[in-house]
Amino acid sequence: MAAGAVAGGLGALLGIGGGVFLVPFLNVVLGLPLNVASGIGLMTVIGTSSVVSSGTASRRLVNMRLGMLLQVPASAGALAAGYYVARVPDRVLYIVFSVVTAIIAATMVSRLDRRNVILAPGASPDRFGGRFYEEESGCEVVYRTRRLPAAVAVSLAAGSVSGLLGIGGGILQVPAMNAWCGVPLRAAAATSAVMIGITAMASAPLYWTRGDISAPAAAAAVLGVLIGSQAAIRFGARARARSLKLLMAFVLAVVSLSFIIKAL
Amino acid sequence: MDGNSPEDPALERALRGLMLAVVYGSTIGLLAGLVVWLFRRESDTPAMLLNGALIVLMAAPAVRVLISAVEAVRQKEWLHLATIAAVAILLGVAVTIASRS
Repeated sequence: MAAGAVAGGLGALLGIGGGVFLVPFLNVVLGLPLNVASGIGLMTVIGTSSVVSSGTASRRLVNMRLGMLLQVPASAGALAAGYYVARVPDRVLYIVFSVVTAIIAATMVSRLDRRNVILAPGASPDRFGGRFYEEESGCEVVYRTRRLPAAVAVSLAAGSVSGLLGIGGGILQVPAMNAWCGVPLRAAAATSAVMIGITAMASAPLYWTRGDISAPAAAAAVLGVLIGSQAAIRFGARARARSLKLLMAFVLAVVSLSFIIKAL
Repeated sequence: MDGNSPEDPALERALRGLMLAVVYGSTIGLLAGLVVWLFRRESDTPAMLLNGALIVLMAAPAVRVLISAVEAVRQKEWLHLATIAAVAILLGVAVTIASRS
């Protein structure tokens, strides 16, 4: 439950769900089989996402138009991966995930001080862009999206990783939306936080019917995540974008390292 | 944390209320199930409570998709509605495959 609370807090803050922290913890530290850890991870992702979706704090930040567009490839990837996951060796999953998270961590650090917001008061967003009040700059900001095909491709990969490893996929989508597609980190995190629950729902039933979700363990983890998410929602608005990026890059690096060690 | 703003139409407020009910309901079910499981593991009751609560929680994202669909119809955003429909179909396929396993 404690691990769930930490996972939920970090997950809600960064828009990446609790699974990316919890699954390695359950598998590497507690020794649960990867399929069971993944099943529990998917439930915690749904928990985190549901708390964010039902709250008001991030409503102005969530870009549902962009989110639902990217949700199509994400859900398709998650469904396919959840169906075929039993045929993929664990070692392959560890290596793939480790490499991908390492690349994204490096990308995040290289773009630490770049901002995607337009501060001009008269600017208008494009079809999949948006606007929101940003505390950091003290005014309403606008953003426009670019490289949508790249976002679609990353979402397909994110959904596949979600179905394979029991995470939400936000660990790939948030940095990709921020670093490549012009979406400010706070908006990317808020949008992703809503999307990951839907992505997880595309594969969670498959894990359920295979018996990969241990009810007592999942319940403890989800309860912890629900508590952690609530706390993070209240804290998140005050955090600086640069600090969030550094935190995300650090988390990605740790996760990458833990999985490559597991693969070796 | 009620998720509503004054300008939301009644249907969307109701759906957001449903979302909250799902989250709170599953939380209570999980808590109750875990407590009973700790003290009476041999009984069927904790498994029923826990599994029921987890199933309710799994349905929460579907409510979010429904809220988005209602908003899209209200705002007459047909491309947005089409993407939502595609997502809903994929989720339906997932549940169908799972129920046949």
